[in-house]
Amino acid sequence: MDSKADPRYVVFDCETTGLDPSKDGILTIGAVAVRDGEICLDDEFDAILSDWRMTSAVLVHGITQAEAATGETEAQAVNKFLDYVGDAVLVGHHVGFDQKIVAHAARRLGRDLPNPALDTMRIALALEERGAFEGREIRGFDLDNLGALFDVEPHDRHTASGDAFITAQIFIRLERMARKAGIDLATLLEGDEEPADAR
Amino acid sequence: MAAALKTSAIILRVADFLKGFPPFSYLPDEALLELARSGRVQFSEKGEILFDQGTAHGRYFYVINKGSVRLVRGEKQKLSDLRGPGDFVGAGAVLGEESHTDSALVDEDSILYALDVSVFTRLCTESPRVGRFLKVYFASEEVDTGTAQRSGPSGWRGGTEKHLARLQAGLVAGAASLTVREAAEAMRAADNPVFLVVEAGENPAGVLTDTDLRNEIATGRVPTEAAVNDIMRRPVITVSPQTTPQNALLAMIRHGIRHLCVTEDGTPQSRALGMISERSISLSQRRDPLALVQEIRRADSPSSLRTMGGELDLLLAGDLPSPDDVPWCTHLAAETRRAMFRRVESWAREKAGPAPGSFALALTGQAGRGELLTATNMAAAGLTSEDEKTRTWTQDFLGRIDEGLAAAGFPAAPAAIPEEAGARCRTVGEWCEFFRSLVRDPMGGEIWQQMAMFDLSVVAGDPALLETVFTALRDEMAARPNFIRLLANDALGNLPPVTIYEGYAVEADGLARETIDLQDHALGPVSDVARVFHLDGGDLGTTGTLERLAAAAVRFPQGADIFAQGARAFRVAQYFRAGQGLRDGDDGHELRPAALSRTEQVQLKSAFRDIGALIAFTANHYGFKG
Repeated sequence: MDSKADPRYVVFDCETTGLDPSKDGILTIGAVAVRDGEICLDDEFDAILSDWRMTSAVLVHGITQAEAATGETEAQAVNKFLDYVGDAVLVGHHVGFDQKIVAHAARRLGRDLPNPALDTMRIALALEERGAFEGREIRGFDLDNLGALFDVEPHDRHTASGDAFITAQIFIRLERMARKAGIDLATLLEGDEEPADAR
Repeated sequence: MAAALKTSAIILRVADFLKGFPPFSYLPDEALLELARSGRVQFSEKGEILFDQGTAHGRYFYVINKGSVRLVRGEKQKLSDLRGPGDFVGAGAVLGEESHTDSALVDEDSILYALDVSVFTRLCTESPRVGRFLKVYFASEEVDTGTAQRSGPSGWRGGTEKHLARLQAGLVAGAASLTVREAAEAMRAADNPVFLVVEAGENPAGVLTDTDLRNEIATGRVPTEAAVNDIMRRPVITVSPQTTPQNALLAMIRHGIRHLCVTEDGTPQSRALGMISERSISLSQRRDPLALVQEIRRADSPSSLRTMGGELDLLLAGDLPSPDDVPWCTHLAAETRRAMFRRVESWAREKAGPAPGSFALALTGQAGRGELLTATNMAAAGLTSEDEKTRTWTQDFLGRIDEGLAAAGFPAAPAAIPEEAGARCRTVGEWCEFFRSLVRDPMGGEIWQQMAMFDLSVVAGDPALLETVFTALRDEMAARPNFIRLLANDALGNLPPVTIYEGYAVEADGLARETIDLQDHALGPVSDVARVFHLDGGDLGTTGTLERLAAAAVRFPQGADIFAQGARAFRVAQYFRAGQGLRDGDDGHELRPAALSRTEQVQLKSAFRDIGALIAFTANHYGFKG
């Protein structure tokens, strides 16, 4: 990542059938691009996968059987997502897990996900270390608390698109704060080989 | 919002937000999704500049999702609006503006939806209602509040009927030399209660009605072989075919008659086309203000007048679906409340006995201007001949009228009008001197307390007395041209709020108030400015503010647009005041913006902008710094 140029970021989130990227599958993928500090509503992605309709995770994420039945196969959805991402920098909250589960699905299709990634949690922690949140009440660095900190409405929480949109709104704030605090986001990039954080 | 599953939840979220606010709420779901899909979400910090005044419009305009944006203008960055969630900024390009008329500063950390202007422009052209709303947002037109649909064909105003053609009955007419019996035969044959007497060229000369036959013939006072000429009523009150049913009704109320003659050009000097009856208009309009006025004329006590005042309020409340209806409802209210005044006056006269000399009673202020949509104080001024006896009699007469008006439910006199009848009663000579000294020494005469006296309108007695006073006033003003400039300066004192933000009225210095005094900060300033231009044009005959502004637009054409905007703002402010007053049973001057819908707030904000522009024009016209 060139620290001078403003790259295309893809902020994304997956809802999955479980917590093991090597065994569990993707239920939905939601994503939206960020460029020049703005969320680009004309550059977003949303997919519901039909392969996992009978699992209990379907109930947790509130996807109805009818919705899943109209969805796409993993191959269709992941191929489209990889094409959509292109060479963007991936962004997510605890992005490592989402990055890994998509990478596993990509490998099943004979593709890979080499894109670098930024974790909003890690950016927030880096800012905390620099004292950038001084004077503000922070209860934690999970998505709900960061959302509350930045007054982001928790609409559609626990849906892939909803969480991706919330994360994107948090990310544009963090990105701006990082610039002011002299933090180069390139130094916070992660690859897909790093161990995933616990979700 | 219902949408196909293929639509992303992110786009739906943005479209759902937009749907909560006009004019986006007027767009169909598919259009909203398209608009949302065209945009960006951005975060802007307090103090950031979104765009500068005078710069060209960009690709996007901004809808505020969270936070607020301050619009400022000029070198001094004067506040022109403060906008919050659901408001938008930078959309002037939609109405064809080439550059930004204000600078936009982010007032607090904000989330903004930057949406594509070209997409929105296209959607606006496909939705006339959105287009109309935007014109109000940019203060160039009245808003469609969506309530106007209430006045459809079944409504009181008779739908879209523009003229009387459909209401005209067949004409039964003949010469004045016919006998009454011959006229009655013609009426019976045509089953028509009215016989129009015509002269050469078929111009109307008189009217004979069923009532006349009953009163004059059936009682034996006049023989059936007498000429129609002996008992016909004259002059004939005429209207043109283009007269609206509402104005025809007002003419009947004014003249206390139940029939009007329609002539080619609306005057008795042209050919008669037909007759209009009260019954035909009432049938077309469902309700019957004329019947109410007739009840007022027959009222047997002030308390029954109080009940009828309540009926008038109900009638007006139902007939005021939009600011467009303000002029007509204002005339109706004025005629009806004046009829109430005259009924009270007739009781007072019975007790006071005959006047020893000539006198006139003149309404002042709002009542004098005929702006009586809500029950307003009707304390009259008395003008008398120079003898002390008549002056004492008129003073006593006014006192009795005041008592009657209070019993009939009219509010007490405001501070600007003396409570004591004695202070409102002067001889013509004293009134002349009063005005002369006021013009000579406005400050010493505390002219700001006396403005209501420049809106005198005779309601009873001899109008010639007021004309004499006006002549003296006109002469004095002509001799002291600076007087008008001083009046103008005085009219610039009460500014409207700059905007409405989150339910508060915000003034230019940023002070936010929970309530607005519509009289002091909206209606009063427009009336004051209209009076200045009215007097400047040498007019003293009292007319309403709207008529004065229309006359000013003709006399001072360089300000025609501004006067039209001022008139529009006045109608809007009257509409809100009347709506509140008629609902709450008071004069409605105190308004809580938080109680208004968002569309109504936009409507009122637009009116404030127009009033501000009118005041700025006045200041400039009379050489004051804005």
